[in-house]
Amino acid sequence: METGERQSAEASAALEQIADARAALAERLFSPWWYYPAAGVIVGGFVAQLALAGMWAVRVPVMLALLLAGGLWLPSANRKATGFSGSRPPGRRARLWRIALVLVAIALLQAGQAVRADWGWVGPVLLGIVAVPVVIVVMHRYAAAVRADLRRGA
Amino acid sequence: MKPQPRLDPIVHAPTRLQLCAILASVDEAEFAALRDALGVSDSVLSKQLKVLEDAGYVKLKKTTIDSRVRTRAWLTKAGRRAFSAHVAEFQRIVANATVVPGRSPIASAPTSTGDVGRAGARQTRAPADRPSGLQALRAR
Repeated sequence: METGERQSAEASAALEQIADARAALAERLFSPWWYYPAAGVIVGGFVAQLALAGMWAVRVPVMLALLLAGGLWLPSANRKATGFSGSRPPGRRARLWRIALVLVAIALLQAGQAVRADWGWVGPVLLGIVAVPVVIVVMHRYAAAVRADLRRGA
Repeated sequence: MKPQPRLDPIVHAPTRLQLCAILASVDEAEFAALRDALGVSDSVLSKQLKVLEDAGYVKLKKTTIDSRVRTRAWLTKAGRRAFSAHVAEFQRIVANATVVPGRSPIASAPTSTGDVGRAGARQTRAPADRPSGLQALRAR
């Protein structure tokens, strides 16, 4: 075998080893079952707390609790469960789903403010309940996209 | 920004290459999770992590949770750069071989640092004798 061919074969083998490692990682990036409902409840809670407009003594502690739960507890619990933590999407598909997740959260909060003005406190509470399954679905899709990107070597 | 393709002798060993591939895909990883993902023993993983840590490519942090010591590892910026450059060089070799079948893709390769750089420095020899980065790494 010529030198160039051998080097190319070696380089291909090394790239395959990298792909295998990423695939092995993808197989282990399964969050516990409660992770997605917990994320849904946190985002839903953010939407529902809009019902407390003007009641700052209650609203501020609720917002703080939700921020701590979403920003610290949930990622930490997920890291303990999977052994890995990551904030950067590994490929284009995962990046798109993360943007979708952010847009969904922004849209839910905007809609929450709109229904608060029209329907009173009931509007944000109902929207918060609706937000839970929406966030669960989008986060599941994001996690699946992360695994797919890792397997594909994106 | 795309990294300059460059083989790195520290990253090149198969287990370390896979270790870097996993660490490059996450922010940080726990020792046990890395061991299971790579399918290696504790001692092998410790040894490879130590090599990467000594090279400044990996940071390790031990924390005690519920009276158990957990070790977390993550790639440093230098480690990410080295791994990206290493992968880019492999991709370049494969791409060149695809474009010109049978011709050594290394012959016109840019020089790199470390042992690979020494290989590049020997490029005053006749083209047929010219050692590649991969050959230099293999010789180690």
